[in-house]
Amino acid sequence: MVNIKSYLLDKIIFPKRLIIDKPGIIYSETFKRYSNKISSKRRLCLDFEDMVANLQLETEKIFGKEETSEIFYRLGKDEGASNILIAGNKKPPLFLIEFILHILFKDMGGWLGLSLKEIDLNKKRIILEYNNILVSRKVRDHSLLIGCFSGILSFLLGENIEGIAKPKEYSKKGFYIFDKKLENRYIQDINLLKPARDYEKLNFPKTEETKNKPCFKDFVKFQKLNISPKGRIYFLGNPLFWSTSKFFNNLANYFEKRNKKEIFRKIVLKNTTKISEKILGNQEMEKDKIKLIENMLCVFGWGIPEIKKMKNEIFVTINYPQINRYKPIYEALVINGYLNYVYKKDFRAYQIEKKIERQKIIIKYKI
Amino acid sequence: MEKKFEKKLTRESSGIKEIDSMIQGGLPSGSVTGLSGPPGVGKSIFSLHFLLEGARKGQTCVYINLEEPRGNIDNMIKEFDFAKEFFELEKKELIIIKCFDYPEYEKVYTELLQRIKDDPKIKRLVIDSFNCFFSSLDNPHALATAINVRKMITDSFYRMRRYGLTTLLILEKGEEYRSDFNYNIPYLVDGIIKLDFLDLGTIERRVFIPKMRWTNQYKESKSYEINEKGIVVASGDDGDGY
Repeated sequence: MVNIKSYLLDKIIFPKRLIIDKPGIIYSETFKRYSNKISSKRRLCLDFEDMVANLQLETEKIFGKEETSEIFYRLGKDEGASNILIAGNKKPPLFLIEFILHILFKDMGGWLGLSLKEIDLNKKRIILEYNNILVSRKVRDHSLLIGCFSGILSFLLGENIEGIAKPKEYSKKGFYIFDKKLENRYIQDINLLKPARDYEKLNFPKTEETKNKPCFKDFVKFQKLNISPKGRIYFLGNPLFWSTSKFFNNLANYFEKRNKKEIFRKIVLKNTTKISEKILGNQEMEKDKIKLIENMLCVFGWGIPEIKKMKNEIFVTINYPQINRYKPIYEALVINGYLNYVYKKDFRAYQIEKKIERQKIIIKYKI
Repeated sequence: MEKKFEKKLTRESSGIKEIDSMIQGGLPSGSVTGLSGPPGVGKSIFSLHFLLEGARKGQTCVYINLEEPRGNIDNMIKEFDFAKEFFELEKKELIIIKCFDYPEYEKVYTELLQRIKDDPKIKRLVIDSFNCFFSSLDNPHALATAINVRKMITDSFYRMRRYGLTTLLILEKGEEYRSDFNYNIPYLVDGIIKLDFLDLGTIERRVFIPKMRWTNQYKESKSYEINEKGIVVASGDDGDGY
């Protein structure tokens, strides 16, 4: 029997959500149901699950398992909180929170591998069940995702909520438990996580004519992107992960503060080489490989890259990239990895420039 | 009573086996199908297969080209293995190729369709391309022009169906052919076959059939390539699965 309250909330009252994709840009848009007024927009991008997972595994080799777990928990928590803050600073009313949680896990749960098990808003305790969950299944550590949901729940419930994982032995299944009674692990400064005032202006530009560039739905149409019944996305058979460049650049920033900038570079290059072997292996010619990289990143919502090689230098322009407070180190390194694989040479970025007013990133590489 | 209205739907092969398998054996006889796609994707080549197939069956097939001179069409045909057969069938008047420019076509189309009606051997018709003809009209935005064009289109379609022609209309898709020159043609035709390509380093081409009346058409797309045999569609599911 249909739950009337849920039905009314979902179909009549709750804002509508759409995913919009155009060449170089993917975003979710929430707007009032009986109005054209948009209440929030959030820029999204796709990346390989292997990239995220291998980054964590390699980071463990540098900083050890415990510290890495802590880094990824905090970064995940910041990411979760900053994403939900895009929808606005105001906490929703209490009577709506349970409903919001159901919607949230219905949207995210499928592709992540999570479902809502228990909600007790009086005790501020939420339990999720996971099964073959993205990223964590490869890393055997749940810090990133627990941190992310901890950030979201802390905002929604109005106080700091930490989370822990309870994996089932010899199984890909387990539980995430979020409870206000858990010992404080990381308390965020919300003011640092709010989106910049010009977030929308910078990340949702009016793009110029992009008729020759593919977008997400083109790749789906051509069966290069496959979406499983649960919502998991695969590119040429490789699973993808919804994220933002902010997360990775935040991680790059951490490495830099610990004077391990060069190690971060090596890690990203190593991972990109592995991914390149899988996705670029079928292309014979260098120009075809470059074309595939450009189109792939465009479809993944990274902006519209243009790669030009001149003798021993390569010039990359990313039009309409994601703009945040961080320098685009991660984007520069990922593209560096692809270029090194294509040209079989060790290129290095010597200039990374973010031209905010012109909405582009310029990266220059040389051997 | 039901028996009186029972009429078995017959089909005309497109000339490409795998395309036929996507539409239960072929295009419904007497239907008007739009063949759309961006420039260079193989629409004219597709139409050659369609004409060739009809001619092989003894049907007279008419190809009207509104953009290219005859020489260009011959050069296109010569690229393929079936060129010799194609020209021989043309000599036997089983394939009739007519090239017009737009002003000529506007004057002659009624007479042309009347001649087609008078010759019961003509069973297949291709017009290449159908929609760009309208964008060439003087002041295509003017209401009077728009009304005249719509009248022309619906009149043409009526006659094509009434004369029992199985018709393929090439519809150019591109920025220069904006939706207001579309004149709702996709809604008026009985079927749409879409050819499209994706540049992933190597060019990948796929055929989609989003609409085909009276047909349980294949819901997925299929990849194809263009080689000396013309258009060759892959058989089976060839997506990059997971």
